[in-house]
Amino acid sequence: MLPVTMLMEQSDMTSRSSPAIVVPAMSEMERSPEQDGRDFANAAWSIPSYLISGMIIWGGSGWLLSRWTGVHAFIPIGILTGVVLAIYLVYVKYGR
Amino acid sequence: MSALTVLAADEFKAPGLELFDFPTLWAGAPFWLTKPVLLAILSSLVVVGFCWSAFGNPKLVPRGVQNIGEYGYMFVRDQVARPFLGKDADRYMGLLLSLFFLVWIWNLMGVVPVLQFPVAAHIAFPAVLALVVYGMKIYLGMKHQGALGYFKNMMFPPGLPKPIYVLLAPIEFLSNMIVAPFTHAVRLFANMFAGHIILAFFSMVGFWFLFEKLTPLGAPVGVLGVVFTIAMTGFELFIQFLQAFLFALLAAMYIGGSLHAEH
Repeated sequence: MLPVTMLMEQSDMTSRSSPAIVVPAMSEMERSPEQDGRDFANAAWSIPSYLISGMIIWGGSGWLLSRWTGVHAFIPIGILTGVVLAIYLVYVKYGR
Repeated sequence: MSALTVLAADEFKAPGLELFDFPTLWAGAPFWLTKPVLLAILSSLVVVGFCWSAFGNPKLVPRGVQNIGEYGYMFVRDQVARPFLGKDADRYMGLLLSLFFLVWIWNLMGVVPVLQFPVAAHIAFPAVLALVVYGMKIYLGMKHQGALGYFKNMMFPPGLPKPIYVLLAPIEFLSNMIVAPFTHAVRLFANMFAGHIILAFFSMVGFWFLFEKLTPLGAPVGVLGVVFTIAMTGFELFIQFLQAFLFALLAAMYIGGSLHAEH
């Protein structure tokens, strides 16, 4: 539902401007919540998947690196890097 | 040793993984012909029979089974297909409706007396459905975005400095190609598996303390078990529907993502 103020602005617009300008604006208003909902659902279902993947990829790389060098600190560093990158990826795809 | 086994037989033992091991239906039956397989076949027949009677000979003014079928159709179309597929929704309704009904009936088998086993509690069953959706996702993605374009759109969100892609592309690939189909199947499996154990546990508590070993102190525990069995059965009914809905919803989401590249 539109807030009352927006409805009032709209009716003001219709009274002042020609309907030809109002119609596309209306159709856009009808379409955008659906698109927003789809993006939100996509993001909501992708986030856990991205977080797990980030931890596996970069945590796994850290584990390999720790096996190679013997420095165990690479494992937590890798996992955290993966989480940070996954969150950044979600921001890039859905937040901007 | 013998004292121990006598004691063990006397004590309450919570049901465990043996709930999910079934012998073949009769001695000498093929090794794969077990109760879950029979229930899966039965579920398919139920879905086919239901859709046949609902949509086989449709009337302009729906009556009876067609009414129920159209409610189901409208639910899947408006809540699952259209939000993710938009104008392509109708083309995939056959798949999504079948998925939704089949998974729901599979799950409902968990609370039907005597049958009482949710088919999806064996991971092989949801895994096959998830693989079908996974295959469709990749096929449709390559068909609509090009074999290279599909992976490029998936792994390289536009507008980032090049070195960043080295860090992000592996995450995207793993997430879309491996983690997503895996969780698609496991989400349904784990919910049904856990639900079946919970129901078995509480009914076992009720049965044990009220019928097997009725004692003044144990009786209230048994009553609690029965009450929880009833409450949890209601809860399971909700979860069964929810998981069927989510399975179809995720299928629609994956297909939708393949049809149109994300911006």
